[in-house]
Amino acid sequence: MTRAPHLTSIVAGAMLVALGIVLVLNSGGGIHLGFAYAAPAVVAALGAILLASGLDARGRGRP
Amino acid sequence: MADQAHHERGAWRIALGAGLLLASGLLLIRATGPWPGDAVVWPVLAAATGALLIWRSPLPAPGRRRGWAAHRTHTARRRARSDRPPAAAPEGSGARAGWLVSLLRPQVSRRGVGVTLVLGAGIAALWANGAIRPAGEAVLTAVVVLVAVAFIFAPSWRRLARTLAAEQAARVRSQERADVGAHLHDSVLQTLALIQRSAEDPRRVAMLARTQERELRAWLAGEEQQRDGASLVDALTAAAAEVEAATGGSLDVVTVGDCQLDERAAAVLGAAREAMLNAAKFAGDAPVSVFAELSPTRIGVFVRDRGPGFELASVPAQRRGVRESIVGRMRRAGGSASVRSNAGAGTEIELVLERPGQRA
Repeated sequence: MTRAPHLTSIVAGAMLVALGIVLVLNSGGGIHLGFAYAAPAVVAALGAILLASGLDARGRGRP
Repeated sequence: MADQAHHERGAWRIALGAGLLLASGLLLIRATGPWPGDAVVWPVLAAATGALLIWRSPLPAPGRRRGWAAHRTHTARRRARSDRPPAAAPEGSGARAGWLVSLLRPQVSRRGVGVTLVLGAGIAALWANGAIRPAGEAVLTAVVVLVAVAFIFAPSWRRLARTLAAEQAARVRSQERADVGAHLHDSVLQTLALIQRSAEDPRRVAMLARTQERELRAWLAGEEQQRDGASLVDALTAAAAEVEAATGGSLDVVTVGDCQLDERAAAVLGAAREAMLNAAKFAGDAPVSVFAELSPTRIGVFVRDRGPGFELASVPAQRRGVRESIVGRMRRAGGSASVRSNAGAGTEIELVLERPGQRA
């Protein structure tokens, strides 16, 4: 029996990886990350996780 | 039920997630591109979200309670149906947390959130554009006073709300217990009494037991709840036929008019059936007269017999037939029942239910 992938975990993990890469680039001097760019990125990550979680809950509620 | 809860939670998360993604896009445009100004964009976004919530909120059914009232009724019914009283909280920490969350979180009205957002956006836009700045100090003072008063009285309001909810739960629990008691009396206890009277006739005893078993199974399965919309005359005639079959008595049913068999009419039907059963049991060979005058706004049922009669005051307290199954049931349904009986002169039971709110 194969387990269905957990969409929320996948999206949350991907968002954390993306944010981590951005922070590493920022500390390495590759990009300059000010609040004006960091805030939308964090908000977008939260939004994507919530969206995935909602879609996941809807899918699990389906018979 | 669980599917609906999943769907509801999922819908809220999807909406919130989409909103956050939109806000993120706007923040990015604000940082990089042309921007009309905070005083325009954020109030417009809040107002649009509020309007969307208002438009998407379902219209309440007529007569249905809304907001906190609906939450209190729902909570009271849920607590009343639970075997555990709220004070005797479940042992598990998860269950306790769930109970606490359900107590703290009211049923959020989508329309209420939408109206708050639209009003807040309007005030914010006026404030940001300087339109209400002259009155700003007075408004700020009023808001601060209101918030202070809310903080001071919030515990009292909360205690009051919890007391009301507990009282409502106790009332609902008591009413449901009375309904179940009345039903058990009308069905099982009456059948047992009939079985005792027919002990010398095994076929009749078996028939009574089979009929009672079917009726009890249907009641446990909730099939009786599905008769809404049926005709009260049909139900009354069927009840009279059932009583005749069970007791071997004779009932003359005369009806004038008709109305739909809703929850309150079903209470009158239950009380009438009990009155017919009592009359058929005690009237001997004399026929029992049943007269029903029915209209959508008023239900009147009279059950008369020429039996030995009785004194209501002399009936022992543990006998619930007349007190609970007839008088109590009619009172709970918002109607009245009067019993006129004299020793040796027969009995007349009058059941009246006024329904002024119903459409004629």
